Amino acid sequence: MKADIQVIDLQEFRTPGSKVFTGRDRGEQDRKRSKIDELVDKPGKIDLIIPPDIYSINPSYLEEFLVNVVQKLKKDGFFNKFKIVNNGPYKISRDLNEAIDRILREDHALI
Amino acid sequence: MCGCDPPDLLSIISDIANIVMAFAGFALAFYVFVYQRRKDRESDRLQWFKDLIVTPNTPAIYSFFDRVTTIATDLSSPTLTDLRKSQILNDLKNECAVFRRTFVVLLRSVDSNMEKEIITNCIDQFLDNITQAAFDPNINLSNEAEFEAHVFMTLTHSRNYLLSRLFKFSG
Repeated sequence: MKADIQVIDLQEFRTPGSKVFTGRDRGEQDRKRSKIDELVDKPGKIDLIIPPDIYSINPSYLEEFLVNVVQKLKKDGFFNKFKIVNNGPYKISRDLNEAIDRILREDHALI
Repeated sequence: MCGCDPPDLLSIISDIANIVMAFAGFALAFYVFVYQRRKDRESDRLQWFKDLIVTPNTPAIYSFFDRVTTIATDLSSPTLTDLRKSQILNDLKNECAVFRRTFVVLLRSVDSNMEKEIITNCIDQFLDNITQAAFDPNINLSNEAEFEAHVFMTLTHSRNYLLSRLFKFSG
């Protein structure tokens, strides 16, 4: 039996008209609203959808948004569980990796 | 009976005073020893912090702020597309990521709170403020005064925060 795919669409948490996601406060708020910490315990993958007209998601936002799931899954587990759906010009990979490295910095000696 | 005179009251008080003074002197000496040893340790830590972390990286700190100021100046162009703004922000984020990995991470070895505070109040605050200003339709960064207020002041604040936080480290 194929496990369901869960979806987190950042469009739902976007300030109307805004083209960026920034700030720890917003990341924490959206982590709670999206229930990402609960979704991650369900079987199957999670699609994280980035609106196509977004131009920046800063590490501060991502660090708070993903803190619990990355601490739980670690880096490889995170990328196995999450599929980033991004059809816009903004490439999230550098900001995402920076946020993950920061979250896991206690686990690493020099990252 | 020994035949000797019993000690008078004055002599007893004098003996007690001598004992108290000797004890106080010993306590004071012990306190000075402990206090001085602690001061020496703090001083050693401060000196190591300066020698191993701050002094070798002082040029890198100023160079980082020079580079991000140069990159951020591109945001003052009046004809920037959203994509171009995003590319400029990516360049800034790159510089910040390198700075964090090469310098800020070293602070963890002496004070993990200092590392966290500098990431939050220096790097993130500067990136977030500039990102919001770049994409805020009510802010025109090609206007000199607005650029000064939203970009240059943010950079100045971040640099000053970093320097003051390093200065506050007391060992």
